[in-house]
Amino acid sequence: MRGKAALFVLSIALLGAAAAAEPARRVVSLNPSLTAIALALGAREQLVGVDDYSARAPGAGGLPTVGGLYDPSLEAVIALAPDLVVLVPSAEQRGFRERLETLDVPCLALDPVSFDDVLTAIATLGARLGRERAATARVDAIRRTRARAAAAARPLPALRGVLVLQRDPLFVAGAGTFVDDMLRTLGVENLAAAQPGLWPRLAREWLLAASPELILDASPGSEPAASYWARWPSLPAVNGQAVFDIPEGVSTLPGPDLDEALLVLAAAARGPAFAAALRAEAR
Amino acid sequence: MRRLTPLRLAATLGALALLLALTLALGVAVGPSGLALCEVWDVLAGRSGGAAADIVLSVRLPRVGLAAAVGAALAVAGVVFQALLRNPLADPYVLGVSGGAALGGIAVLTLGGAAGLGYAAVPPAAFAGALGALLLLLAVAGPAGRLSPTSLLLVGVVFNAFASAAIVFLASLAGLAEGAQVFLWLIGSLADARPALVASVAGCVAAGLLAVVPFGRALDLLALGEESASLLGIDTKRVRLWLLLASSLLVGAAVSVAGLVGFVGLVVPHALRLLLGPDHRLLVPASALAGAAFLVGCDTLARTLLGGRELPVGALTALAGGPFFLLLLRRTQALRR
Amino acid sequence: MSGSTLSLSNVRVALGAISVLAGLDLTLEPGELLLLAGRNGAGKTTLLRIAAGLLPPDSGQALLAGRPIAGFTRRQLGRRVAFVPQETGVPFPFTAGQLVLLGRTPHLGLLAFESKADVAAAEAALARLGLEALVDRSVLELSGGERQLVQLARALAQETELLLLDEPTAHLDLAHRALVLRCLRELAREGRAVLVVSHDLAAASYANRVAFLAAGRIAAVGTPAQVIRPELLRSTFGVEAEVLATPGGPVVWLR
Repeated sequence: MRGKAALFVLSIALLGAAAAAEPARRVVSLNPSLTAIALALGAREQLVGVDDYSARAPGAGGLPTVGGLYDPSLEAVIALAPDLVVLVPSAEQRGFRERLETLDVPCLALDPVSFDDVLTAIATLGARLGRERAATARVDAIRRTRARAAAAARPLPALRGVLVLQRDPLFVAGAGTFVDDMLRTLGVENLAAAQPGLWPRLAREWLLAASPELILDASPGSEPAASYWARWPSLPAVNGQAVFDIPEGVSTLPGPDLDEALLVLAAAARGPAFAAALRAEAR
Repeated sequence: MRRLTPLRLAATLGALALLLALTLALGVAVGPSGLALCEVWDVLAGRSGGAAADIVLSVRLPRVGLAAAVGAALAVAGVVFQALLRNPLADPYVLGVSGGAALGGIAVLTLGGAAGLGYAAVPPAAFAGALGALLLLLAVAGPAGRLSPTSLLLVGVVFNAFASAAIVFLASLAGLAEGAQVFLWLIGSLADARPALVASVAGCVAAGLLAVVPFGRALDLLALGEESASLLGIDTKRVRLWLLLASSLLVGAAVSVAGLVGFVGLVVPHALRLLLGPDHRLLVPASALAGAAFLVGCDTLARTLLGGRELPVGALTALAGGPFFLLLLRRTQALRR
Repeated sequence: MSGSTLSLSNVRVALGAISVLAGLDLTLEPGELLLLAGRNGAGKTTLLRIAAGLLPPDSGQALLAGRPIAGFTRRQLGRRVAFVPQETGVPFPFTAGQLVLLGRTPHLGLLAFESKADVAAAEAALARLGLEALVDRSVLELSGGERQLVQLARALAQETELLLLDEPTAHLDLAHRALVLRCLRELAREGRAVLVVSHDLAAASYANRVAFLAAGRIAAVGTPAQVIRPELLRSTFGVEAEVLATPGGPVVWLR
């Protein structure tokens, strides 16, 4: 934790130097998280193109699209004459970045996996877009909310829980992800942390054996979580009525609003009063 | 007597070459960025630079070249496999070489990240997988089975099943992101048209085509069966081995770069056989030209149909090829009556 | 015998542990039609394959026109020996004419196209078997019998001194059967050597000689009258039969 924080500060310092360079004016974003960050930092004017999924976000309407998450059109990107392309390397398809660099298009690869990774991404992107002040403000706000949440959760009893990304087949949030960091901040022991992988796919049997006291269901399903998981009444979470729907987007997007994401999770894990108190402190 | 004369051969190939040239020109001229024809022309004449030059020379040209090479490779491999297996419904993926390529590529795609391998390692790994599958095929179907259609097919089917299962296993181990990547790679796409890669694929394809084209008559004779073909002057075992190696090179090169683009290797040879007759002296070079034109056309559509969005080219080859082929079938059957 | 077209002496072939031909002697002269009969699995097809140069004997001699068969190149063999197999479905829509033209391949260069002379030879072969009307029809549409005739025409177009046929009358109706056998007899009279493997003993009336193959050796060889006798039929095929001698040749009645 401390090591990451140190690295984070160092990166900011280095980027401070880089920020002295010309900020990017024509940016193409190939990832919804990165698009959301850019928009939150007020860089809408600097965005000239986004991928199809980013285009669905409010605030990104009207921007030209260049293709899907995994199959963007090289030609469409080049046609926009960008001076910066931001992308997530793990979601890359067929050596896209290499081809862009061969054509002398600067690329910025950011990988917002852990909570601190997201903060670094906000800072780095802010520096490249010439929005350092907005970026620093955002990062500080997120860090403050996280510190307060951690402090408020410390005296509370630990909860054994899991965050579900998809019900069938079962995908959960694993160790090292920003979701995992948020859960631990709230004093929730992530039962999936022992499993390998960032977003492991597990058997339902595993879930039943793990007996979570808290189920945060962020999966896209029309059936409400409470009624869905009620099929397995042996689960302590079902018994204790600690099964909650988590709206898609905010808490599952490693984007600029991690403080809001944290509050949403807090409301579910520790109760609406807990979250309301945190919100009140923020003002 | 209706037969293939040198004149008919030259005329038909000339017409197909013209068709290919037209589709190549169309492929370079058309794209999602909406460049005007005069702008494209300016770039080709060396008068223009900037984004337009990048698009035409670095994006479209290599991609169109790759589509032509892959299309020719798959179509000719299809013709050869249909003759080797004595079955007009065989396609280039039936003998497992493509399964090996897919397995090699997917293995690096899903596990390579941990070993520090980037996407650039995928095509060579896929090609290595193709070679591995070929060696297995030769080892098992070779000596005792004498590379007969039955033994080739059996080994191929079993190996494909094994490769599919292994791929599913790897994909299920991978996370959400890699799963989508695996799926998209398998469907087939010509997006990875790095000029250096295109050049090496084109080289392999040219070598494979040169190895197959002189054997047109031999392919005809193979249709008569083992004994008759031998007595009409060909060493059937050696010829079959040579053709198997050449067509596996074609399939391996195509799949390692483009994934499993379907339909080209089955429909193009079959349709040409209905239109031009079964004489392989014409069918092999014609398939190369027509396969190239077909895939270039489909890829051009895939790039431009939905604006910025790229469709998987394999979906288009099936959507375009399927109905056309059924129509052709009905027409030829109606003519017979 | 140096004058023989085909000469097999003391030929032995074993496939794995099983002995198929065990010291077989057989000669075929030019101008002769020989009918070879025997039980299933007696080795008739193996003998044909040896004569066609597709299989070398384990021991013994196999000579074509006095020279060892193994010494010929495939093209040389193709110009001297034609093989009509039992039944091969041709999977592609060749026309009858195109299929017969394939028989001219040993006479062409590697990349050469058929000349007018080649086309004439093919058309003559088709005409000889009454198949002119089928020249541009796809073989896939022909009946089994017609396809068999086309294969025979292909072998004729090859213009060889030795003709090997494996059950050539198997799928033919009576008229076509008679046509084929008459044609083969004429070919023999023109000087070719014709070896016919067949179950159809009625063909014996067209043959110069008949041979019975049993236990990997020639059990009997001679004129039809000499070989087709009840005791030989019993020992070779294990059937009780009566043989009636007629001016055309012996006729067999199975009991």
